[in-house]
Amino acid sequence: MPTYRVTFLFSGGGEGWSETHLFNSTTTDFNALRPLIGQVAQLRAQLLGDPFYVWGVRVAQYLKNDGTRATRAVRLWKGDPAGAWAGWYNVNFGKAGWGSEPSEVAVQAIGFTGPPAPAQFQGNQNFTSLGGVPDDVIEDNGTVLPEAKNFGGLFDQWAGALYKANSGWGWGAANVLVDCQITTIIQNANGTVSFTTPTVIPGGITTNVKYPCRFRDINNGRSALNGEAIVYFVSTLAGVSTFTTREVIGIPTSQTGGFCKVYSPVPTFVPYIEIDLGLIAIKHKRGKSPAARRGRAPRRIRG
Amino acid sequence: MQYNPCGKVVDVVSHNYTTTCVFNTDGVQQTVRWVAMPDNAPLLDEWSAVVDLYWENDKELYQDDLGEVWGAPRPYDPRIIPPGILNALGGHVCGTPANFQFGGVFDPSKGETQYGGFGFPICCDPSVALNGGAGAGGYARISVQYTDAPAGGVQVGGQVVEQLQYTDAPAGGVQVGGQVVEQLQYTDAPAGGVQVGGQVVEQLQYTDAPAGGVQVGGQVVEQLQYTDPPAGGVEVGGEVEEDVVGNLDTLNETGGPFSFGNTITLIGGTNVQLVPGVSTVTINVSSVGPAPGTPTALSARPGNGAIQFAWSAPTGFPNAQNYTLATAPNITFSSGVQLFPNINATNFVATGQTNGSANYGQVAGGFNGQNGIFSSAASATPMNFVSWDDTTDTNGTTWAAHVLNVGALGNFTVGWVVTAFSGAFNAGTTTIQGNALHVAQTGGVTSIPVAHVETGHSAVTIQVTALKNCSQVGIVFSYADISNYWIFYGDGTRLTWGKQVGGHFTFAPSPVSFTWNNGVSHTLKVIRSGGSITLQVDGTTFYTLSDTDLDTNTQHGLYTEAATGETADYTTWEVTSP
Repeated sequence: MPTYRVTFLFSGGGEGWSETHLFNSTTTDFNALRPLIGQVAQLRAQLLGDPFYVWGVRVAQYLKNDGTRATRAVRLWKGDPAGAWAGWYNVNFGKAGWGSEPSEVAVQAIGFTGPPAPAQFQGNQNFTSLGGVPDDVIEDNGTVLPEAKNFGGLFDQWAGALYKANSGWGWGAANVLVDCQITTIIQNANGTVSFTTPTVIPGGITTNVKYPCRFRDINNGRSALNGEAIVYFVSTLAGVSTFTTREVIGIPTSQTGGFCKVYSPVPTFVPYIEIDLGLIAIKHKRGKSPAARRGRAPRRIRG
Repeated sequence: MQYNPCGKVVDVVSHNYTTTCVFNTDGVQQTVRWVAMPDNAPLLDEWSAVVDLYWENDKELYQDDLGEVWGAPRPYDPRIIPPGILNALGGHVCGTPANFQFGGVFDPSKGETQYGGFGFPICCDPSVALNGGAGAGGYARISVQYTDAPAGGVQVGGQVVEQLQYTDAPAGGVQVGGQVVEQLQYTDAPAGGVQVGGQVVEQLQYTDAPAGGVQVGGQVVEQLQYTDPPAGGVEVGGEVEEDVVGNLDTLNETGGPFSFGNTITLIGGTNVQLVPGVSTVTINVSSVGPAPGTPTALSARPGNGAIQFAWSAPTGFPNAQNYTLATAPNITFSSGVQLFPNINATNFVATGQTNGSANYGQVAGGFNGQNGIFSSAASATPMNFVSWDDTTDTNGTTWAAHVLNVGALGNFTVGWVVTAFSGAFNAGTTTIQGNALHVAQTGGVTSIPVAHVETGHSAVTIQVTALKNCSQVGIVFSYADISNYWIFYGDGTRLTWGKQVGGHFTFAPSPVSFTWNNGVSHTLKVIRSGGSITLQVDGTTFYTLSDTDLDTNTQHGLYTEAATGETADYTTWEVTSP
């Protein structure tokens, strides 16, 4: 069954954000997917205060039936005032008494997984920040009032659609391929960094494939290397395996110690079996509306 | 590339930019330009492989053959598409869904795509829609000249050739997309100003242009002239040539759907004169119509490394041509896609299909350069058959007229050859009944048809399921003619084999007992490789022979003996070769 990345795009008052779930479906007919996705969008829109609405849904092909990466392809579905799904996107838009908290105020939906997910992922949790909460639902001290506006009941409707049996909704769990100790770290002439490990590299890791990884505890935790990076597996010779970073990372001083977790480039789909409403509001950074006409992209530091 | 969303929203773009992108399956890197669109712009309602990688969480890890090249510069591009251009395009899309999802194939015969001033391809040939008046889609070889322009304004998209002229253009303004060549004339340009995009050659002229302003983009050839067009508004898309002169207040459409082969009658109202003194004009749609719809009834028949697809032309487009067939080993068409373009028939044998697993196909029609929508998929599982018949056909079809699923060397046109056994016997009646090869004898003489097909192989495994309601049913193999063949059959109490070589018969010296009552089916199998012959029923071997007689013959088939009123039915004829 193919798996899609379904991104719900929210807008209102010139601000916006997105919320993404994975959706595993038996169908590849987009028209058959519409009611399955549209129902969730409609239920999610019920949780929004004025002036926020679901601007549209971006559906991206993500994983093939065998769990490998699918060829990239996307499809947009915008809120349509006409047609079979009229009004699914702006349930509370302009509704009196349904004013929203500022967009950065969010509540948490805490997702749990279990069978039929693979055993190593059962019990994992996933946190989704739900923005655009009606003002009445959150007290000044951040407490969430599920009874206000029947928010808890509406949340259960939305969550129930996501975690009901065989709904197909879930998230992507990261697979740790290897967790290895680092023995040497050297700066290459092109600025990338190579490191070696005495760990035997499992057969699933192949050369010249990019893998996400996470360094930790290098130089007792004080190193530019610590954190996320993308690495290539180079080789295993005489019991020593070598990786090289894709990025240019400056390490002017000698680096010692540390560990590295290497993850699979594609996650494993795990279904929701339960989604609970967090009872304390959180602050979550929000950006521009997807409907906004964007200007020049902000400058970022490049390697 | 020769496909383009033509102003439809493809993806959510974080900001406008230009970057390197691969559009075609040839892997050539080109440039994609993402532009800001009005919020009411229409969506490209298809899967698109060209996406804004900003939204892709694994853009650093995974690079597709198609789409943006991650790591290439993405400089900010401030261009914005004016809404008027979107209107002129009329929601038209260049290319097929397969182009957008699996990449295009560059056709040199079509030449490089030409782009107008706003970056849209001039190849766009948007369908025509008339607001309150009359509508025409595609290419109508008429020319239009208006006096008394409509309040709704005039929108012209695509290419206008020769004489199109305005005087006192409408309040709604005039928007012209495409290329303007030669004589386009304005006097007293509108308050909104005049914007001209694309290429304007020679004479561009307006007289008393509309208050709403004038936007001109693209190509207009020769004389574009309007005089006060009608109140109902007129939108003209596609190519307009020659000239029609008249004074229009209203236009009425009659004559049914405006499609290829139909006629549209424009009937004038109180003050209407299409031509001085004439109030009715009939337009014969004799050239290009709109893009065809979806082909229907797509079917797939498996072969050896091949699948024969057949379909019906899209409804309303019996003359659709230039079909494109896409095949893939998965129903999502996410990998292994093969495109077979320029098919000018409603069936096609797609080769290069993988034996032993399901392969899928979709087909889209074309019509004078316009591409239609892909059909739903049909699938089949090719095998290494050298002959195969699922015996499915219309009741009453003769065996000779019935086409095997797979004939020799993957030929999809081979039928059975039925020969009467020698002597006083006849071939009986051999037709398809109930999706089985049915033998019946009603003529009072015992029939012994020997039906055979050419397989091109002498070393074969032959299998068929026989329902016996007669004296004998079996397989004939290594057949050359009625005096040279082998047979393996059951007669109700025994299983036996026989061979006739040069007219001399030899039978199994000690036939094995085997009860085969009427009304019972069994599966017979012959495995022959040179001098080695194995004869089986329902998977059990009853004979293992070593005999090289006739071991180079490549025709094999069915053997029946039926008296009056008796029948036999054969299903699932399969011949494979190592």
